[in-house]
Amino acid sequence: MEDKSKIVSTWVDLYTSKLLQWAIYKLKDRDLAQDLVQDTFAVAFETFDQFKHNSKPLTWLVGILNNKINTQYRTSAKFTMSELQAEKLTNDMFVEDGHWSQQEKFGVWQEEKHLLDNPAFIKIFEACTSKLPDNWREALFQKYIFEKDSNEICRELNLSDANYWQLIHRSKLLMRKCIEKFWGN
Amino acid sequence: MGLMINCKEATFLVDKEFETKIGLIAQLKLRYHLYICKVCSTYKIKSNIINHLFKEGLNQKPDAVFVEELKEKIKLKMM
Repeated sequence: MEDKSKIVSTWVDLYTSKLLQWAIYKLKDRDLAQDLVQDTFAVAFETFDQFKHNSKPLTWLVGILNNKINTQYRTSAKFTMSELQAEKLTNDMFVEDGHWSQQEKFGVWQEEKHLLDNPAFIKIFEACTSKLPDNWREALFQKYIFEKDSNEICRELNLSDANYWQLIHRSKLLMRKCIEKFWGN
Repeated sequence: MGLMINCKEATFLVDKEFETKIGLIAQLKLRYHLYICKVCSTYKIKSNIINHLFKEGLNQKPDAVFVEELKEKIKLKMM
């Protein structure tokens, strides 16, 4: 049998950074995030026998971490949009025949190439992403940071293929509108 | 069903096409719509910027030294 502390410490090297990034993103609290990542590896070490070797270590670890984060969430109320609200907001961007509603203004985003070098813009971007419904943000994070493909994300978040495309699309509609509101002119 | 789709359908296809192949007919309808609809072509440009923002902006990596310290802490606990 392979030495479990050897395997788990390889995981520590490989995945600490991503897990931490995820925890900070979800919790917006670096110290708390750090604690939960440590707890995650402690649990992984203790329950190592339950890890199925045909599954991906990162997926398993994220599962443990999410349990920790969810427990934390319940104790700290945080305002994000519900999915229903978000769907209504995106539906309202269009009128009945499917054309853009008159209120939708498309401004120009200045300095488009260097938006992320601008601290003021990063603030807006973060505020806009943090308003998205929790599981939409989770899907986006899985996609863009953990680089999972759509099949994997659908399986993990229990989404149909059609729901997944709607979710990505609606997230982007909301992001455009939110950025436009605070950044466009 | 002609070649016409509305803005709601077109923007959905725009976002889907960034990630995966859409059917040939859908492609054709989308091209045509984008050709005649300036608002949706602007949406496409912005949607592409948002892709980039998600990739880079969500990916604010934690400070490397901090991560190394955390790794050591975790490993010490497992000893």
